[in-house]
This record gives sequence, structure tokens and C-alpha cells, in this order.
Amino acid sequence: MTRSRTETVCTAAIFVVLALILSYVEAMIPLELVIPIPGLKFGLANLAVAAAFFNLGTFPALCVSLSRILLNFLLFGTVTSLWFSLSGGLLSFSVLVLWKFILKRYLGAVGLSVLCAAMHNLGQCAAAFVIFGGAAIRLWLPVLLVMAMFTGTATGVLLYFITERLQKNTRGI
Amino acid sequence: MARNDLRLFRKADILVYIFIAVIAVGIFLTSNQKNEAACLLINCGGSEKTLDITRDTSFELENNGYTLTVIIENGEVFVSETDCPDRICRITGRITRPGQSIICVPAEISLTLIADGEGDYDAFTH
Repeated sequence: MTRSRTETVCTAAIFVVLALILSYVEAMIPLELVIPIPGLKFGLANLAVAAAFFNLGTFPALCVSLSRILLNFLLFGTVTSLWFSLSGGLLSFSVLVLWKFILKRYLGAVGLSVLCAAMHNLGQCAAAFVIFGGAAIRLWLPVLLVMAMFTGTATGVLLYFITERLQKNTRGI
Repeated sequence: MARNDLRLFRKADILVYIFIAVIAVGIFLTSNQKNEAACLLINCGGSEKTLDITRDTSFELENNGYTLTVIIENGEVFVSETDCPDRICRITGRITRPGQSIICVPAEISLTLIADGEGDYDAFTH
């Protein structure tokens, strides 16, 4: 399957829009009412990034991730949320790249997704630590990591079936 | 294409779960939470000083012609007597948690509990 550059750009744009819509949908799910931890999300938006990674390749997916973070910041974000999602997004993206080159023989979709979610949370916590300081941030991390195991499993299963469907259609979406 | 290598689940995925769980528990156990108020910040007409509140004590603060009797008892701070007509500081009662304060405007005195390391709230975000 080969794509022209135009097709790649257009498909990437669709993934960006999907990611934005998903983060909007995510914002409407009141997960924080059930478990009152700031920054707790399903990670559906990152699902679109991961799907782009498997459908388009590394560089287009990185562009999708950065565009999503920047647009999400411009549309709904605050000054601090940009740094949270930027550090989390880049760190979890590095897991995808690591998977492609080293881990793909060992990790399945679920493990990959859980690891991505955990690294995303680690990045967020690191950003929070840099911005706010204060050692209490580290109490935030274990809870987020445990939640990442659940949300990562859910998005991992979704990722597997989404990429399977996308592969059947040679044109992607 | 990379997708062809993606399985739903591989054995090593369990290791990821264990790895994350161990790290989460490790961080949780190594961080001992300290929320106790550690000292009292006294602002008396602009001059500031801090005082350890682990020892019970009582003292008087004078400023602007008013006198406040402050008592520290079991880590709680309160004003027992004042000759200021407002008596807001007395009505405030006991303060126990970091961030709480007793303020007397006529005397220009404020007593604020500050945490040694961390307070109840570290930061606010949306």
C-alpha cells in the first residue's frame, strides 16, 4: 500500500480532527466526579494518535500528535495544560517509537497502550513538578499510574480492533 | 507495515502491568505524607517572624495600641483575649490547618499557619 503525499496529509488531518473530537468527547465524560483526580482521562485522543502511527507511520503521527496538542490548547486549554499535554504526549509517543524498533516482538496492543498511558502520566507529573514544584506531586503519580493500567487496557483493545479495520481498507479511513 | 506485528496481547504485557504496579506502590510507600502545620507566621505591623507550634505557649502581641493574647495549645492557635473593639480575631477561634489565619485589622496583626513542606493544596488548575 502506497500513498501519495497528498493522501498522507489529508489522512493525517482527519486523524487530527478525530483526536480533537475525541478529546472533546472525553472532556464531557465526568470521570473526575467518580475518581476526583485532576488529569484523569481515558486517553481516547491518544488513541487517534496511535491509530495514525500504525496507519501512516512515525513522522505523520508525530505531526498529528503535536497538532492535536497545539489545537487542543488553543481551543480549550490553559497555559499550564499545554505543558502537561506536551510532555505527556511526547513521552508516550516515544514509547510508540520504541515499540516500533525494539519492543514490537514483545509487547501486544494492550501492553503497548498501558505503557503509553503510564508514560503519558509520568510526563504530566514531571511537567506539574516543574511548574508547581512541591514534592506532593509524587503522591499524584501512583494513583494516575494505577488508573493508567485500566484506561490503557481499554484503549489497547480499542487500538487493536481499530487498526485491524483500518488495515482492511487500503485507503485508510 | 508496523501494524502486522501488532497482536492484541503478548505474554510480556503482564510484565508491563507488574512493572507499573511495582513503581506505583514504590512511590506511594516511599513518600510519607506530611500535612501537619509546622509553624506560625506572625506578622505584627509589618515585621514578620515564625514560631514553632509544637510547643504549647502563650504570648502577647502589641501593635497600634492594641494587645492580643495568643495561645498555642496542642498545635492549635487561637486568640484568647483582645482589647480591640472588633474582636474578630477572638471570634475566628482556633486555627489548625496550614493556610488558615487569624487577622486583626485594627492592630495590623496576622497569624498564619504555614506548613513545613506541603499544605493541603499544592496548586490549582482547570
